[in-house]
Amino acid sequence: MYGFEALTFNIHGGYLEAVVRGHRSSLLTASDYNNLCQCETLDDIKMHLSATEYGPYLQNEPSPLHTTTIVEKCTLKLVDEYKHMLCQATEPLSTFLEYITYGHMIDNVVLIVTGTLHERDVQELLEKCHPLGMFDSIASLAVAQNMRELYRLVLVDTPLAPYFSECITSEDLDDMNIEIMRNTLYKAYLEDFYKFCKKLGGATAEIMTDLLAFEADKRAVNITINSIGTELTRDDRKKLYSNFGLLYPYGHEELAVCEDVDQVRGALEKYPAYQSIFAKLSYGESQMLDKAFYEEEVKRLCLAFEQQFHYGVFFAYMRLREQEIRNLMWISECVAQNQKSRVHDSVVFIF
Amino acid sequence: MDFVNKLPPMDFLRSEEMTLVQLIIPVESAHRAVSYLGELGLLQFTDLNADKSPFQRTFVNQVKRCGEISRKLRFFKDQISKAGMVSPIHSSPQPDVDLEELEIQLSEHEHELIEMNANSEKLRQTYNELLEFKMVLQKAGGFLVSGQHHTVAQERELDENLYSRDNYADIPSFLEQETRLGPSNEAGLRFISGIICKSKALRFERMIFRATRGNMLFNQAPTEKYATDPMSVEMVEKIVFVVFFCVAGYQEANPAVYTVITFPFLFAVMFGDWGHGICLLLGAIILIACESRLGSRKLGSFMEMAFGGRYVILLMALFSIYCGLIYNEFFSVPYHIFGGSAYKCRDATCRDAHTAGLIKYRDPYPFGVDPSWRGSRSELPFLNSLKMKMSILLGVAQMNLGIILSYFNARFFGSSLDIWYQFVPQMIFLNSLFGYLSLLIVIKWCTGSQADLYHVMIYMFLSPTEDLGENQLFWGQKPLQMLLLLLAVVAVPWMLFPKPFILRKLHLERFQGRTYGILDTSDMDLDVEPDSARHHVDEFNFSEVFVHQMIHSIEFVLEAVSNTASYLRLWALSLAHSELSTVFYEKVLLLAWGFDSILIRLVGLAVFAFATAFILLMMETLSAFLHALRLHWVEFQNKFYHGDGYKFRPLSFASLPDDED
Repeated sequence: MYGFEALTFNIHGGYLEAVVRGHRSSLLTASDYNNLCQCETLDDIKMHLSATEYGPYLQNEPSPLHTTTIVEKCTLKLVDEYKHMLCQATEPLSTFLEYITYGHMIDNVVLIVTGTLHERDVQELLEKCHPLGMFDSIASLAVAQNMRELYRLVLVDTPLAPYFSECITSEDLDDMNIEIMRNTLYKAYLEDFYKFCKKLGGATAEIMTDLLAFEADKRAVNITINSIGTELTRDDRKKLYSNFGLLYPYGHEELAVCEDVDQVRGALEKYPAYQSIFAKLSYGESQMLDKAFYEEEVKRLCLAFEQQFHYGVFFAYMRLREQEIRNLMWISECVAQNQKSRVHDSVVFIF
Repeated sequence: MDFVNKLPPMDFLRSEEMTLVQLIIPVESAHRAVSYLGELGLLQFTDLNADKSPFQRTFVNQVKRCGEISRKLRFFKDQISKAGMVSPIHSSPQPDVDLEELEIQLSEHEHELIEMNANSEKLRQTYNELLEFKMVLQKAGGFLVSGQHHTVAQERELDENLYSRDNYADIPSFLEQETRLGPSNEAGLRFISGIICKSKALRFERMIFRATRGNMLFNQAPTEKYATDPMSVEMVEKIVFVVFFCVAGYQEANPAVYTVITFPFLFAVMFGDWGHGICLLLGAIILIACESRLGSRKLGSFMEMAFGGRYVILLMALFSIYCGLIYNEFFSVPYHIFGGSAYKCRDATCRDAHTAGLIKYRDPYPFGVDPSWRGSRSELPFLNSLKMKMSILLGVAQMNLGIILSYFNARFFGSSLDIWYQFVPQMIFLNSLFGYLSLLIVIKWCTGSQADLYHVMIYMFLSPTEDLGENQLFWGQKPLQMLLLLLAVVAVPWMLFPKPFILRKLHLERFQGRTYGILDTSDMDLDVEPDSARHHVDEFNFSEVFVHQMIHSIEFVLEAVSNTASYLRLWALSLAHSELSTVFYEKVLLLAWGFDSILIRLVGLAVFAFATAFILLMMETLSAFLHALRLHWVEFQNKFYHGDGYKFRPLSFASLPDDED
C-alpha cells in the first residue's frame, strides 16, 4: 500500500539506498566546476580531480593525458559503483538496476553495427562501447547483414530480445534503418521500463513514471527535430514516439506534422511544464535546446532524492553521474583544444 | 636529539604543553628545512592557505612534479610485486636526494620498463598463439582422422582459425572467409577448427547452430591447462576503518585518570557476584599471561577489543569479586564466609520463620549482606532499598567529582569568572538538593529511622513550611530544608545572569579606545589571553553568549534531577543480574539435581553451565560494561569535559609508512 514503504523498504533496500545517497553527495559541485573551468591544461584537471572522489582512478595515469583517458576512468568509477550495487541487490531492485543499463546496450549495438557498416575494426569499436551496456557475444554483431540476422544470431539471448518484435525487417542495414532501429528499440525499452515501474507501485512508480515520461517527451522532441528535412515520413515518425508521457497522444499528433523548429516550439508551449525550456531559447535557435533539456532533466533528477524508500534514487544517481561525465568531457575537450570561452556552453551544474 | 630525551615525563592529568611557532624560511632553503623537520618528526604544520585553491598556492608546480614522481614509484612498486620480488627497505634516510636528478632517472627507468613490458607481452602472445596452433593441430587432427574413412575422396579444406581469448569471441573472421570447394561437384564438408575458452563453448555452439541453420556437427575436446591468462585482474579490497574516538581539548583535565578506577567499580556494582567475578578473573589472567603470544597475532575484531582491554577486564574482575562479597552472592548462593548469620529463628522449630520472622541475636554480619536474607520474604524490599540508596550516594559522589574537576580546569586556565559564576552555583545547587538527600540517606541508615525519604524530598518543595512529623530525622530539619531550598533557588539566576554581562564588560574594556577593528591577517593573534569564552573574534555577540549561558544553566538544572535518577541503573542492573542467576540456579540446577537419574543431572549441569557462560558472563558483562561507560560519558563528563581537541600529528618521515597502511 502506498505510503507505508517506510515499514519494509529498509529490509532489502536500506543498505543500497544509503550507499547511493553517499555516492550522490560526492557529485561535483558548482565550485568544483568553477575550479575545473579555470584549468589551463589537462594536468591541472587531473590535479583538481585527484582531490575529489575520482582521485584513486586518475592518480596512476601517466602524464600526457588524453581527454578520452579522463572520461574512461571516470566512467570506470561509475561502472564500479554500479556493479557493487548490482551484486548487493535483491529482486526487484536487481531487475530495476539492470533495466537502467538497457539504454546503453541499445547504444552499443547501434555503435557496432554502424561501425561495421563503415568498415571499422571491431576491436576499435568494442573499446568505444559504454562499459555498462556490454554483454557477451556483442562482438558478433559485426557479422550481421540485416536485422533479422542480427536478432537471430546475437540479440535473441540478450535482454533486448523482446524489443525486436516491432522492427525486424529483412532489409539490409544502412544508416537510416539503423537510426530507425535505434529509436524503435528505445521506444520499446522505455515502454517496458514504464510498465515495470508501474508494476512496482508505490513511490517508485510515481517518481519513475514522471522521470520516464520526461525522457519519452525529450526523445520525441529530439526525433522530431532531427528528422526535419529527412525522408522520414510522418507516419514513420509517429511510430517512433512512445505511448506514454505528457505529450501523448495529442502532442504527438502535433509533433508528427512539424516541419521546423518554431512549429515544434508552438506545439510544446501548450504544455506548461515544457514552456520554461523553450523560454530560454530565442526564436529560431536550436543549439541550446540540448542544454536546456539537460538542465530540466537534472532538476527533476535532483528532486527524486527528496523522497525516501523508492528506487528512483538509483536511476537518478546513474543519470546524474552520466551528466557529470558529459560535463567533464566537455570541459576537458575545451581545455585541450584551447577554447575555454566555450566551456559554459554545455556544462550543466548539478548543485 | 638529546634535548628530546631530557624532557620530563608526561603528566597524565593534562596534556603536554605545546608551543605555537612561526617559521620564516627563505624560499631556496624551504625544501631542506622542511625535510630536516620531517626527519625530526616533532612539528605539526597547520595549513595557513586553507581557503586558497590549489592553483594559487606557491609550490603548485613542485607538488605536481612530486605527484608525477610518486606515480612512477607506485608503478614500479606494482611491477615489482607482480614479479614476485620484495623491494629492500633502506633504514637510514639518504642525505640529500636531489629531486631533479631523481626525476630524470625515474622517467628513464619508467620508459625502459614500459618498453620491456610491451616486448615481453608481445613475446608471450606470440608464444600463446603458437601453442594454440599446436593444440588445434593435435586435437582436431584426432577428429579428422576418425572421420577420414567416411570422406576419403574429398579434398578437404582445413580452415584454421585462432580465436583470441578476449571476453568477446571474435567470430567475423571465419564467417566471412570463402571456402573453396573441391574439384568434385559435391558440396564438400567444410571444417572449421580452432580453440576457444571453455566457458564460451556453449554459447559458441549455439551461435554456430543458428548461423548454419542446424547443419553442423560440433566436436570438442578439452585441452590441458596451459598458458596463463596475461590479464589477471587483481582486486585489492582496502577496508577502511573509521575509528571514532574523542580527543581531549588542549590541556584540559583528562577524565581517564579517574575513570580507570571508577569505571571497573561501577561495572562491579552492576555485576556483583564473586563466582562470576572469579570466572572473569580467570579470563583476564589468561589474556595477560599470553599477551606476548597474542599480541603479535592478528585477532578478530572482537578478540582484539577484548585483548586490548585485558587490564581493564582484570580490574573489573577484582572489583566484581569485592562487590560479590558485599552482596554475598556466589552464583547467587550466599555463604557464611565471615562468620555466622546474625539472625536466628524465634524457637527451635522455625515455625514462624516466614510469618513473624527471625530475630537478631548477635552483632551484625561483619562484611556484606547477611546470608539469612536470601530466600526470605522481605529479601527484595530490603535489597532494593539498599541498592537504590547506594546508587544515589555513588551518583552524587561522582557528579561532585565532575564539578570539582571543572573547578580544577577553571583554575588551571585562570578563569575566575568560571569559578565564581559557574562552579560555585553549580556546587550549591547540586549539593543543596541531592547532597542533602545523600545526607538524609546516611542519617537514616545510621539511626534506623522509619522516615519516608520520598515524602521528605517532595514536600520540601511542595510545602516547605509544613511540619515534618514522623519524617523528622534530626533536630532543625525544617529550617535547614527551607534554607537549602532558598540557596538552590538563588543559585539558578547566579549561574544564569552574571557571566554574559561580565564578559561583555571585559570585552568592552579590552577593546576600548580602538576605533578601528583589528585587521584580519593570516597570522595568528599573538596576544591571546586564556579567556574563559576562548574566542579570538573581535565582535562580541551578546545575545549569542547570553543564550548559550541560558542553555547551559537550564541544562544543568534539569540534568541534576535526571542524572541522579540515571544512576539508579546501578540498582536495576544488579537486581537483574542477581535475579537471573537465582533463576538459573534454582530452576535449572537444583531442579535437575532433584532427580535421581545421572543423565538428567548432567543435562541440567550442562544447561546451567551454558546459561551462565553465555547469558550471565557474556551478555551481562557487555550490558554492565555499556551502562557503566554511559554513566561516565554522560553523567560524569558532562560536568567538565569538552573533548574538542585534535590529535598531534607531526610531520615525520619515520611514521609515513605506517600512515600509508
